[in-house]
Amino acid sequence: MSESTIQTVQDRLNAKEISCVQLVQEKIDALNSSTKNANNAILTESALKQAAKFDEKIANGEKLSGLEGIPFGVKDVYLLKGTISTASSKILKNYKSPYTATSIQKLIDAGAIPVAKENCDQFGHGSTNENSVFGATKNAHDNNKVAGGSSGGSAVNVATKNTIFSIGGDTGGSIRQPAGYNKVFGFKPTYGRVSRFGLMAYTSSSDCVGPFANSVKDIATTLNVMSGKDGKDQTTVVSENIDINSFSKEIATDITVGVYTSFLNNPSLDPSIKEGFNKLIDQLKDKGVKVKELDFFNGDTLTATYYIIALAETASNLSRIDGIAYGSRVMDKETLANTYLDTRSEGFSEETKKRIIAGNQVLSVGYSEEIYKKALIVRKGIEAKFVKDFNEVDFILSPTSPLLAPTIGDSLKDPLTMYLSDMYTVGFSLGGLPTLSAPFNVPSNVQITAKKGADEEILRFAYAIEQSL
Amino acid sequence: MDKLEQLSNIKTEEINISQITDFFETIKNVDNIDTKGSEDHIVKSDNLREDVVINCSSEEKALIMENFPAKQGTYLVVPKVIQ
Repeated sequence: MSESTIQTVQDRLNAKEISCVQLVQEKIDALNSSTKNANNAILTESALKQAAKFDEKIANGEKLSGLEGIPFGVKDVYLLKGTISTASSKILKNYKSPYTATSIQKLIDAGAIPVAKENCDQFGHGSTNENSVFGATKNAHDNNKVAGGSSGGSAVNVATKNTIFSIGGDTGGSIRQPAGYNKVFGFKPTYGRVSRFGLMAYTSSSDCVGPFANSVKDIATTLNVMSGKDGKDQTTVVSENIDINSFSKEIATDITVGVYTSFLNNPSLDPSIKEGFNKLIDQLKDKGVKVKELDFFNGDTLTATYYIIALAETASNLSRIDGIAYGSRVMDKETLANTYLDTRSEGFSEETKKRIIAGNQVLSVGYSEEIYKKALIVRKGIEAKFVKDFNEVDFILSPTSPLLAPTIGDSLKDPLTMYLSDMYTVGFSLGGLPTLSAPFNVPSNVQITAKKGADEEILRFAYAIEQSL
Repeated sequence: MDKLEQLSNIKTEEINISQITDFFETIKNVDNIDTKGSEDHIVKSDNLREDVVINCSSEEKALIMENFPAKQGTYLVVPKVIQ
C-alpha cells in the first residue's frame, strides 16, 4: 500500500509523467463507465477547466504543492456553488447550490479538483445507501452487496480508485461503516474540528465532515486542509495542524488500548469479524501494546439513544424543506397547508418520512420529557463514561460494524437490523469523539477512537499499525 | 388531519414507524445513569460573531432566484396564504 496516493499522484504530475488534464479525464472516464451507481453528477467541464490551469502552472516551470491537481469526490449533501445538490432526494433533485460549503471550499483553495457529487442515503438517512432516489450504490468489491451508508458513493469511489479521496459526512457512522464495507480508511474527526457550514443538516449535534482515502497520510493531509474555526459555524473549534512528517513507522510501546467486552460479546457480531479483531489485538500485544477490557453500555441502549436524538433533530432540520423558496413544489393546491402536505409527502422517501414523523412524535407533549429528555441524560452518561475510560486507556479499539456488507434489498425488508448495525459507531458520535475506521485485516474494518481533540494521536497510531503489521 | 401529520406536514397513512418507536421503550428502561464528569456539549455564547448584515454576491442572488419553484415574469409565486 502506498504511503500517500496524493503525494504519488502529485509527484507524477510534477515529473510530467501525466498531465493534469489527462489525469482528470482518466478519472471522469472511469466514473462514467463505473457500474457502481456511486455518482449523482460528474463535474466534467469545471474539473477539466481547473486541471488545465495546473498544467499551465507546470508548463511555466512551477511545481504543484498542497492538493493542487488532485481529483476528489464530494458526497451529495454538500453545497458546491453552481452544481446540483440533491441529498439523493426527489424534493431537491433540481436544487442548485448558491454557495460552497466551507470544508469543500478549503480543499478547492488548496488546489483539489471536485470531479463528482456522490450518491448517498437521502439526507443521510440510512446505513446501506439504498435510500436514494438514484437507486442503491453497489459495493466496490461485490455488485450484489450494499456500499454501506450513508456515504456509500464516496467510499466506493475511493475503493475503486476513481477518486484520490472523497469527502463524506458522519452523523452516526456514515463514514466509518461504508469505509468498512469497502475496505478503505474513513475518518470522523472530533466534533467541531471541521466546519459544517454548507453541509445539509441531519443531526446538528453530531454531524461531522470527514475524508475517505487509501492511506492514513492522505486522511491526515486532507483533514489538515479542512480543519479550523469558521465564523459561519459556531460549533467549530481551534485545532493544531497534524505533524504528518513526524509520524513513526514503529508502534510506541507505552500505549494502552481498551476493548469493550459488551461489543465483543454481542451475539449479532459476525464470527469472522470477531476472529479478525481478536487477531489484530494479539498482533498489537506482540508489539508491546497493553490491552485492557472495559465495560460499556449495550448496543440496544446506544442505538436507542442515538436514534431518538437523531430523529428529533432531523424532524426539526428538515422542516425548512417545504417547496416554497426552493425544492420541487406540488402546484395548484387550494390551501397553503395542502401545498406543504403534498410537496413533502411526494418529495421525501418512505425512510425519511418515517424519521420525520417519529422525530415529531419524540418532541411532542407526552413524549418529550419521558423519551427525548431521557435520551439526552443517557447521552450525558455515555460522555461521562468516555471521560473515565480515557483516564485509563489511550485508545479504544472496536469493530466498525457487527455485520459484513448485507445483500442489496435485505435491509429494506428488515430495517430494524439496519438500525442495530450502527451499534458500534453511534456511541462515539454521541460523545463527539474522533474515530478512524481502518482496513487492518478485520472484515468491515476496525475503529480506533481517542478522547476529544486527539485526532493526531489516532492517525499517528494508525500509521504505525499500517506500516508495521 | 392527525396531530403527527400536522406537525410533520407529511401524510401519515401507510407510514409504519413502529420499528423506530420500539426504541422509546428501550430508553424508558435505562436506569442508574451516572453523568458525573460529562463534558459540556453546549456551544459557548461568549464567542459570537458580530451581528452584521453581509450581502451575498449577485451570482449567489441569481442562483437563489433560479431555485425558486414558481415564477411569473419577474414575480416569485407563492401559495395563497389568506383564503
